Amino acid sequence: MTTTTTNPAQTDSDMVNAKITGYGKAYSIAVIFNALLMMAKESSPALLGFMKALGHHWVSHGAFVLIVFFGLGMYFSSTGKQMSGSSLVNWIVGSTILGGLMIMGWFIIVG
Amino acid sequence: MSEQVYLLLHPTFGVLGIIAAVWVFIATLNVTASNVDRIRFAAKTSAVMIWLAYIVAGYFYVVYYGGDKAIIKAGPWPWAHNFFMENKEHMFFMTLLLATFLPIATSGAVDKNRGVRKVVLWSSAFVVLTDLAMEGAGAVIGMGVKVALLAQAG
Repeated sequence: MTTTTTNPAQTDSDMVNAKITGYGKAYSIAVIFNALLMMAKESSPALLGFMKALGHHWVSHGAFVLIVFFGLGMYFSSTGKQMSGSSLVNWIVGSTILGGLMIMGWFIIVG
Repeated sequence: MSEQVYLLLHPTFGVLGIIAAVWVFIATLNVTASNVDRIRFAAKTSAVMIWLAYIVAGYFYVVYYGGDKAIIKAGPWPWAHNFFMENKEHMFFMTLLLATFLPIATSGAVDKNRGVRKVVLWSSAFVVLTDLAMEGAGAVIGMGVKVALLAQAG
């Protein structure tokens, strides 16, 4: 992973700005959080009951995932840290595949 | 609106989201200063369509799906719910977040910055792939209801 707080030139650079970096990292974390929350919800009647108490469990699930995405996206963006496009693509692709496999694997093995 | 209208609107918005994401992908492969605004418009269109698909599907799922779920689970394809619906309702959040991220990614210098281009290309490609998976899962779930009703009818 390559991160920097410097301000590289936008032209012909592999570095992406802090907003794209921040929300890209937030996406990756939110996707893994989504899979972990699903596993926790399916394993814990207490957590599932809590999420149902807030409304429909799926609506609560979505709200939590969106809060993580937008919350972390705003936070990471505000730090001003930038990352190379190649590294951010690794985060995005890796988390998408991992998150998908975690969900699919759960319903194959446990569900 | 009837239950069936929600069922038709959901995949329609999903397909429009896919088409817009393909537009982003192709236009980014051929980016020039003159089509950056179109890339950003397509990215916003994809995000709006996926959000509409989410809202419509969410309403249907919460209000109506319980009946369909009972029909599927009593029919010959219970896995249409146990595997495909369970996966769809959780994996959809990946598509939603990626589509939401797409306008943010295209807000960068798509025509001048190869890092931004890489991020936009991969993000739009995964919107297409994950959304296609959602469309396929939806078709299996719909068939799950159909075969269950056919089995009930004898």
